[in-house]
Amino acid sequence: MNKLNIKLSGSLKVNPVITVDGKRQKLKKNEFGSYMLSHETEKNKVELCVFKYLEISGRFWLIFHILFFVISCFGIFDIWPDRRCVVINCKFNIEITENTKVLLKFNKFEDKGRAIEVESNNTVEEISNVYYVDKKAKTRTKVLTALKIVMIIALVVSLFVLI
Amino acid sequence: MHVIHIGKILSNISIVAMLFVLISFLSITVSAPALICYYVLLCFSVVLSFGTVLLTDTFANLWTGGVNAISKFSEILQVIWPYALAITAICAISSLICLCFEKYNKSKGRIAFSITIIAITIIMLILFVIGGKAWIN
Repeated sequence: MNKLNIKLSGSLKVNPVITVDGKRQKLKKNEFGSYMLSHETEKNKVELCVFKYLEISGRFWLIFHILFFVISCFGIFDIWPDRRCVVINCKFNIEITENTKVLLKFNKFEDKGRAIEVESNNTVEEISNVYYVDKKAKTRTKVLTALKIVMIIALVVSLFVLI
Repeated sequence: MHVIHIGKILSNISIVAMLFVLISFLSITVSAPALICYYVLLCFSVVLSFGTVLLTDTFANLWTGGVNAISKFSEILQVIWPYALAITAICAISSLICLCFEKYNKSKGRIAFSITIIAITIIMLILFVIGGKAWIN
């Protein structure tokens, strides 16, 4: 049985999703505060993907976000949204043996810059490794902000009319 | 993903509602420090205005106004706290259910907070049922 041990370090503000051979992995915090994960497989080569899913990129985003806005009493109790819309897209093919160690060092965000530096005791083939701003998500964020402002104004006006 | 977002919103609402309940519950003990704050602010304003306030008739009313304002605030809290408690219970239970759907990166802090809020709510509900309406008054 081959084992892959991955350690994450650096700027983890993007809150990435990590998959090994298409299966999402659960991250565990060690005693030093670093995130780690281990994966066991019979294969000699695995595909490691690191990406970020933005909530606003999904289907029915407008309906869901209006629903969140209403439930949270017009945004008062809502969680702080990610306005930067930073996305990470990394894919690696890693050859693994009995005890393969991989260190993923997350770089600071730089548009279209390298996202991760990989260190390993085995061969790592880099397919993609980039940080970028999701323009579609950014546009949607702007539309949503405008819509929220309009809704707040409508609420204030209707309250004044009622009073 | 969307369920977790709703869970976080409900968790925020339950925290604020719980604070409201606790303030209402402790309104008798809270009113004393609030009254002290009121008088401290009043003294500062009197000193800053160099006694011009002393010449007006409203000066005497200012010293008794604090008691009235705080007692009115306490009365409002006494009326609304059972409703706030109900909102807290509903929001905390719903948020706990929603947050448990998170498989990979659980919001442990929020879950712990929700459980604590539910426990406090149950204790308060028991006290409310045992004490009845007489206990509120």
